[in-house]
Amino acid sequence: MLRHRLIIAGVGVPLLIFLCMLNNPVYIVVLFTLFGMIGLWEFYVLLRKNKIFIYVYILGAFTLFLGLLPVFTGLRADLPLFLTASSIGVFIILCAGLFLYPPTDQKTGKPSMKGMLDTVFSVYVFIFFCVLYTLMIQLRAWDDHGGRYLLLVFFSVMAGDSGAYFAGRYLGRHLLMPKISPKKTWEGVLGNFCGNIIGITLYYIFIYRGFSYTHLLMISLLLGFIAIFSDLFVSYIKRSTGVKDSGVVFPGHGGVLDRTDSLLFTNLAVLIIVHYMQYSGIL
Amino acid sequence: MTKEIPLPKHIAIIMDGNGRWARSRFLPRTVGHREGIRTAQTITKKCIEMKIEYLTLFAFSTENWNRPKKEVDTLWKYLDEFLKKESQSLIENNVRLRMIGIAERIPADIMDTIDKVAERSRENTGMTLVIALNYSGRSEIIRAVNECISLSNRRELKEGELDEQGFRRFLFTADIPDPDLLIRTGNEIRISNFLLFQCAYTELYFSPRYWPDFSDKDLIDAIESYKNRTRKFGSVSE
Repeated sequence: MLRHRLIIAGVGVPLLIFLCMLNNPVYIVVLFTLFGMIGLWEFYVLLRKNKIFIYVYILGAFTLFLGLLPVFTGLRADLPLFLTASSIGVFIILCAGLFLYPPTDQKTGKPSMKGMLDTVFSVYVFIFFCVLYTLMIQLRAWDDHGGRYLLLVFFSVMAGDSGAYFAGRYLGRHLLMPKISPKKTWEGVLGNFCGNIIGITLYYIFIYRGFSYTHLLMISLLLGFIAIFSDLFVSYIKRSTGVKDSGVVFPGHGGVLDRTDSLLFTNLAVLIIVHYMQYSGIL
Repeated sequence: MTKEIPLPKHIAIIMDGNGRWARSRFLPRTVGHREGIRTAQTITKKCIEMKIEYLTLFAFSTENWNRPKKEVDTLWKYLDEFLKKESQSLIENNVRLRMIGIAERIPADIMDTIDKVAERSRENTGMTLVIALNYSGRSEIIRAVNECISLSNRRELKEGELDEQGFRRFLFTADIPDPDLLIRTGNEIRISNFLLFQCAYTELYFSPRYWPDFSDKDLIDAIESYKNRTRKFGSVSE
């Protein structure tokens, strides 16, 4: 496990930094869209085991469109268009059930929740995964520093994860929420924050000084909180669906979902932070 | 292969798309203007570096007064900040500052700043940075015609005496050569009342980017595109 982590860190991190620092966002746009499609497929397989069939083709089409959106808008963010496309996506998914499943069981004629369940989960996966995930691509396309904003997300999450892992492994005594995640400890939470601060310091030194260090510290605390909650949230999904390893494409490596789960909310937070810092003229 | 022509001596830029840039990020238009000012700073630096002789920036047109008062006020505020912040580095970089446009409606303190910087940089020999404030190509021509009429009334100008060069004296850009390259950003394909008389033979370049997104690289692309054109001025090449 530790070896895996080190290998992923040794190869993945430099590659990620390289991709994010490239001037042309198109590589990230295409690569992330591709990974998004894999992640969606993992979600599909995960839920299929529980006899829930999300409308994977509709979701896939919208993930593809939302992910590649910057290609149609001059490689720049366009939130109004993004929001419009997302809303249309939700609408189409809601309507799809009408045509896919009858509201009553065909044999017995009794009311059936089958279609409702698939629809509800489709909307859920669409908003939680497809929209939030492709929002990372919008952050990359935000402006000339988009790649650096995205690296803020990655630095904070990866350093936090590592901090939590080591602190939990060597110091962990007191369980945080044993019913949701049997391994997460309060020591891990503290380690998460410490890792966060280290990560953000490295970010400030090596990557980008557009944010002041004081701002970065405050941002890192906020992102730490968010990362912990999104971790627990994903554990919650896994527990309730009874799946441990969501990886389909890279078995044993945890898959795209495991790599991206804590990024989703953190990314949203960074996007909002960048938005308001530009709004108020700090950034 | 077409023969490459030298760098443009005079680049004029219509800095369009600030508001739309901001809107596509759910930000207020004024934030777009602030980002636009930043772009103006980097592009000015790049032009100095590339040894462009004249750079004209269309910062505020006479029609811009029709925008909401708050936006107009903020725009002037940012222009004032830009001038105050940049004046020292402009002078250090041997840049000469010039203003073209109708001085009357421009807020007094901004006019004051411009006059001061223009005065201090008058002897500079590097690039000339021309800022078009409260500018309109048509009113510029009309003002020039009116001056001609009054000269002619005073018998200082006779009928048929005025030629193109003579007329130029009455324009805001009297001692500035015509632009070689006009860049307009923001995916609009119009001249919008900018340097109407001077742009007769200017090469036009339209960029789909919004002005805050316009980078050094885009400027170089525009110049490359210009270099590969054949300028004939109405005659035949070769």
